[in-house]
Amino acid sequence: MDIAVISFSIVLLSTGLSLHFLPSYSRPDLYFGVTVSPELKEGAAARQLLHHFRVALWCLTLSAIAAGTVFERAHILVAYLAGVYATLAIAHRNAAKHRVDPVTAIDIDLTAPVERLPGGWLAVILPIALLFGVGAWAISNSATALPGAAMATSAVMTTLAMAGVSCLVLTAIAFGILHGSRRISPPGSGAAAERWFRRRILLCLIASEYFLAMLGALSVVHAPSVVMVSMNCAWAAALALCIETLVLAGQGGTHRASTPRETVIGDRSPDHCWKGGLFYVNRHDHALLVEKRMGIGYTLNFGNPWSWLLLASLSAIPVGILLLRPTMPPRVNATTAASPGTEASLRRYIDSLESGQPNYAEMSPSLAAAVKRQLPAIMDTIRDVGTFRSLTYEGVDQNGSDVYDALFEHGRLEWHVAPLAGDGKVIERHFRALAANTEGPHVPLRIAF
Amino acid sequence: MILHIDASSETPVYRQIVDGMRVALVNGELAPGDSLPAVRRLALDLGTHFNTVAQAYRELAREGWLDIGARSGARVIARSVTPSKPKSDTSFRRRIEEIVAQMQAHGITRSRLARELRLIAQTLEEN
Repeated sequence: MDIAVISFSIVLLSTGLSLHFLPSYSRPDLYFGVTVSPELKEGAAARQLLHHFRVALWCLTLSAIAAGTVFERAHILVAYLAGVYATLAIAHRNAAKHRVDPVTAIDIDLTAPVERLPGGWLAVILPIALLFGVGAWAISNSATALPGAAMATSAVMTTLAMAGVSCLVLTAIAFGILHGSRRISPPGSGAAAERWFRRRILLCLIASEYFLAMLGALSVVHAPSVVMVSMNCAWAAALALCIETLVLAGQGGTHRASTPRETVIGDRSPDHCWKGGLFYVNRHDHALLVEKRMGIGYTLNFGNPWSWLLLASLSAIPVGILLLRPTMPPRVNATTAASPGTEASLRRYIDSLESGQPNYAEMSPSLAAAVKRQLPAIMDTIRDVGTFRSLTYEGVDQNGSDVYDALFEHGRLEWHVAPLAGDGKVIERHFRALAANTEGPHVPLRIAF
Repeated sequence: MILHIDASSETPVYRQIVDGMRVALVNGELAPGDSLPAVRRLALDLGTHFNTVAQAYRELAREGWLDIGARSGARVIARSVTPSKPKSDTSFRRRIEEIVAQMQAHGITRSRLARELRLIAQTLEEN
């Protein structure tokens, strides 16, 4: 079976499984986003509602998996998500029949400990500082005097910028939870459990920030595969453990064994502000983030204008980076002559690939490391396209690299070669496959060195 | 120290904050040097506007209970107590009578009111 179909099925099964247990995570006095008496969940009406929800959910999930083997999976996914939302909305509407008025009395402990970020603000700034440091190192180690370094530099900066933006997003969420969300549980063991829950969420956010920063940094310095895999496995295990403790503890830590039932009734937000039980819209509430009524964690208060500003700015930054990054295919200036030695260097490189022994001696250390890492994929491509036939100079791209069209027996590859370094070594080179022997729009299939 | 606020009460929220905090200040549950929650934090937790909490803090500051700093937030300070004047004694008694009447209007019996007032008086004398 196609790996894409398997992946799609796994994603849907995981989603279905998470949603299957969704009502179990909520606070005791919330059911499908509605304020209810805590005793309702143990009654027949609630069990019937849950049963109908789960039947609908799994019918949707299994149907989507089956449809994904035949139809366009992106469309199926959209339809599935729409179906899931409709199912939740229906359950929310049915649960609303059992709604109770929330308790309006609130007890606040004026001497409660001030909540702080685990490790302080230094803990969240360090990953971003690491990315800056790696960026500065990468730029200083590239041959900045040569125009060809612009390609390597732009790719490096894009990777680091995306990692940095992700870290900033996580920092913003942590800040929002600390200073822009409401504490719900009354003083006592309930408040202690809620503090534990919020602290655990902040730890997850900070850990994710460190992971993203290290991922970005290690990809730029071309760390060995074993290091990348080990780091990924360790982080995944740590995150899974963290999430499991959160899920077992329930929303706000209300399901922890050490937390006795305390009278709350409601999460301090009006029922009518929860659209479909999922989206919170309350213009009169100054909270930026509110606890989700279904699931674990927080959601934006879409009635707060700052939430939209936050959402727009967080969305604009990565979109802007993606739009500004070098896109394929780069524009080629055919009137500029090739840099000395690039054609001969490329011919020698292609010959070396065909012989199975890449000429690493003619590459810079970073390029050689990249080629070694991608060698299996490169050799697969060379084998697929067959015997080398001819090389045609096309021009210079917008990054200053010479562009060559290499014709092979069964295909064409477009090579971009940066001007050689002073010692004649190649510092930057990549290729992409073109549609064989046809004119027309370039179809990037693979980018390698 | 627990502050109890009822959003559905006829008493405005800021008045409930002032009255509740004053009880704690008088009873010594909040001592000089104690920091109060930031305006934003308390307003978020109560689900009320920032100005409501700020108004309550300002009133308590006017009464001499709090020192409000721009960055340091609100802090309890030592308050000097001036002897009450006869006019304030009269208004105080009237206020007690108004509260008693309000409680009776809500259905609390006279005997229960008397019992609660005796308990409060006893607590005051012991402190």
